[in-house]
Amino acid sequence: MPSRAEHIAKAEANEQVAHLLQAVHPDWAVTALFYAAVHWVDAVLDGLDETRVHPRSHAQRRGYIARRPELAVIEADYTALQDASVGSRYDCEVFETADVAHMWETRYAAARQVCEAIVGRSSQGASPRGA
Amino acid sequence: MAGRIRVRQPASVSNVAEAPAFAKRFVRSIQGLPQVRQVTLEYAGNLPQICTVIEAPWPDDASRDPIYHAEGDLLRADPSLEIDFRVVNRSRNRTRNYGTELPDGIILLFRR
Repeated sequence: MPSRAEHIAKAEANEQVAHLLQAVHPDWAVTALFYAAVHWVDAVLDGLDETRVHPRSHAQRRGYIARRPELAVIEADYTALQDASVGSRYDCEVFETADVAHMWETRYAAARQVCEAIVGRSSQGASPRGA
Repeated sequence: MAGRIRVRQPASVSNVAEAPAFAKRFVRSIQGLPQVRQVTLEYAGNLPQICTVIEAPWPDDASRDPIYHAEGDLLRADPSLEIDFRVVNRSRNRTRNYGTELPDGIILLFRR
């Protein structure tokens, strides 16, 4: 299973992909942004309360987000990103560059901020792992 | 999937009266929201999928958020539930905005 550090690295890589795609393929930028959020959530779940949770499906991950008070605060932002990604990929829902910017500045930024704060808090004094 | 059970798919569900209790509970929690136009249930294997169709101007964050919170409330109320939710704004995405004839396997829970 990936370590917390690996999830964070993947989240940041996906964010860079979203940035690269935003102007030319905003439909795929939405999906890259969603998968950045997925990895922020998984980074939180890997190590929360000294457990190592690795969801195996989106439905399972959504359950953890709803039931963990630390993550429940991002359930609307996270799920909006998921719905946008699914709508773009499967339903040909159109996302313009401005739409991606809106989702980035509101939904993604909020979710990342919460996850980053949790990861920073719970990593204090923790020994590195996953090397 | 240790410690977590998925909802068993009913043998045959043809209308809302036969829909599982969690689905009816979810509908009751959001049917008063004016932006909600339709709620459907289908199954991917044993995994229930609930899709809420709304109508709202874009950006539609304020219209989506109460539905997302209702989804979370449903999951929090029953730790054994595993559900795949979707919210679709029919002003941008009409794929789930079904007409009078529903595709096979789709259970109509609510329509306005």
